[in-house]
Amino acid sequence: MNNHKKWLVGVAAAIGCTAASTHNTLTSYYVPAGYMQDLEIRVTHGCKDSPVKEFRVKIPEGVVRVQTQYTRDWTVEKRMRKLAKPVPGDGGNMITETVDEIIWKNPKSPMPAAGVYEGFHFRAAIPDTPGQIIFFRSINVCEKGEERYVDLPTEQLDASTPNLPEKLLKFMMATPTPSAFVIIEKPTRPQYPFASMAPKK
Amino acid sequence: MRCRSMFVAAFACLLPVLAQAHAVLLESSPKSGEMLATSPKEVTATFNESVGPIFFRILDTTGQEVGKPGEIRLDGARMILPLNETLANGTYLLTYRVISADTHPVGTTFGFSIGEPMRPTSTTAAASDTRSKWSTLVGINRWMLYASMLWAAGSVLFLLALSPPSAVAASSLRSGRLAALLSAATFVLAIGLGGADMRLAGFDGLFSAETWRTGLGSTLAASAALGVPGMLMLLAALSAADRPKTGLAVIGAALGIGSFLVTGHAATAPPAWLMAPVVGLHLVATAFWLASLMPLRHAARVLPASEAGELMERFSRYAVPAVGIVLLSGIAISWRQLGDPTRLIDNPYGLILAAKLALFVCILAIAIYNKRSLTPQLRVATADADTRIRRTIGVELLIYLLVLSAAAGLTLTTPPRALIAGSTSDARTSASAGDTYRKTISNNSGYAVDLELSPAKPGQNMLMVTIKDPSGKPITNAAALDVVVSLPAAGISDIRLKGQDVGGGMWHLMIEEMLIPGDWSVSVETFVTDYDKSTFETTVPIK
Repeated sequence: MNNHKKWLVGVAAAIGCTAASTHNTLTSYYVPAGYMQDLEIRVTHGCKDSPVKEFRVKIPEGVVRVQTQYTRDWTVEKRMRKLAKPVPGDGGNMITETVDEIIWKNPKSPMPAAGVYEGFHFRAAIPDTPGQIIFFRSINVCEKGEERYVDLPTEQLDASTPNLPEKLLKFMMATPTPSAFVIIEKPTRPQYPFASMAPKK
Repeated sequence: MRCRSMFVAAFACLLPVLAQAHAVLLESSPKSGEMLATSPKEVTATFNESVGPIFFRILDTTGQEVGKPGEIRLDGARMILPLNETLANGTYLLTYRVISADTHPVGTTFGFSIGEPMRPTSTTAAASDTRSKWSTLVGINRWMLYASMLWAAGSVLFLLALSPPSAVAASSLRSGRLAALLSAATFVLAIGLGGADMRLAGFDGLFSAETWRTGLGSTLAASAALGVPGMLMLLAALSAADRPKTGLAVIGAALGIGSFLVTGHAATAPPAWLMAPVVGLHLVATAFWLASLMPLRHAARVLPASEAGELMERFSRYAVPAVGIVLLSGIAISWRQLGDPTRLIDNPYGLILAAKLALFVCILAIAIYNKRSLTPQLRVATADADTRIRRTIGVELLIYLLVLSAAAGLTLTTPPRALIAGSTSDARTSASAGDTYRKTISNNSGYAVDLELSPAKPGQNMLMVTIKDPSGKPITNAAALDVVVSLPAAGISDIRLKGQDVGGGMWHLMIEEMLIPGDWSVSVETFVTDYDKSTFETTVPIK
């Protein structure tokens, strides 16, 4: 690295590059209400030029029955929280606590700061609330520093909010660290093509 | 003796140059307070070393950037800002902020005028600098490092060059071993202290891994990587009966000297291929001299007077060329760093050199006395000549160590760049630093933050933030706190700074960027938990 480049890096670090090119996002922006849905959160860069050594995501209210995908590259830790009222679990039994936070850590090798992306996979039951927008707050913990993608919009947004696309863009541009989000849609068909084994409601 | 005294003086003259730790503005166009006849095509600032620009702007008196500037160009240590628009007659501010070779940001703002006398502006000089409570310890450690490394390396030179009688050699070996051990320790300690200083750490900062990581990321680590093995080799080489192990000793001394060359500003000044050897020679000659004093003094006591006199004459044979090397290399280094002999009087950097010259005159007087009176007496074994020569060598050594401490102390001194740039510094810069601007901000989260900004003047400001819960109790376990400052009126956009948790719910930050008066936007982002961010926004007047 020649001297001038070194300076530029230093200057960029000193003034704090606010124009982060990309944020942590969910790969799909729409999920069907009530589905058991595969989710992927993408991390597209490190903290400035520092590689990512840990990724943490906070599971929003109403998203339950969380299961993480097996990965050979990361150690996955799940932290639980108590539910206000029990909900039906996978086997039909009632569950009283659910995953609050997923932490991917101790990678085989840290995710390089630039040029690649990593997808963090889990599945979960999406709440049956069509129109709601839910936010997955996440943190990239890097070898040096961390970036908290935890900012929320200043006003309540949902699918019926007038000028939603503009407002979402504004939200994403307002800070360098917006939270990842998905819009819950009314499903056009049931998730499974076969008949449900659960008793008819 | 005279030669040795010249060593003192020459070294004294040049140490401040080696020790100076910041980029200093040597020349600017326009100068502070200057009245230009016509609008300049470009503005320039020349430093004593190459710098990295953070910003370089011309502002009008309302803080608006003017002159349609092009890209900042760098030409060695000169920073050039082309202006693509003619400036109307009036008063303007030149403001810059650069990172110097030690990654230390420095900046200043001063006024000049075009076509008419300068109108008083609110900002005529605002220099800023960061120094923490660690700076004194950094200085003391640096002093010990200078003295012990030169002593250890110099002992090798003294022993190999003079092959002194074994009683004298033993003395030199002993002090050399001690110096090498001390030096190795100070090399390591310099990393931690430097890290604590850079991070503005609290008093327990030396025990945090983060501090050492910061230190390891700086050139101090490169210096220690050469210096510590070098000193350990010297320790081994000097653990002999009466002669050091030559190969090991030479490599150790070379590593020790080399460790100073990877960090010093003098050695890294362009052209490096020339300046590094020049500074290296300078250090070698100085080390030889420094390490010779103690054993020579010892010789005057333990050896018969005539033998001691003979040894001192032998020392002189090496000392004369060594003085030549020190003086010539010293002149070269000073010339490179200052550029022009007139710089000796018009800036503090030069004034320090001038002061050292005055010290030289005093030492020269002692040296003449030694040469004319004591050494001949010693040769003919006059009663108490040995006592007196020991006393004068002792005085020399003492002065030498004082000079080293002064040199190390200089690293703590802020080069008053405003003074260099001109004489228009007004009361603003000398205004009492005791002013503190206080404000409590709340938002709809129910939480609140207390801000304390001092001195709330252009230049370096310290911000203390306390996060409070709805009942007014400080929150002591918040996960993080960031502060974003901006001055939209002057086009200074979001400068993001990390707060440091200092306990008791308080967070500490140093803000270097508030160089322009105005209502600065301050946005405090608190993370009460890892995921719960709450932002508090306000403006603070800087005036």
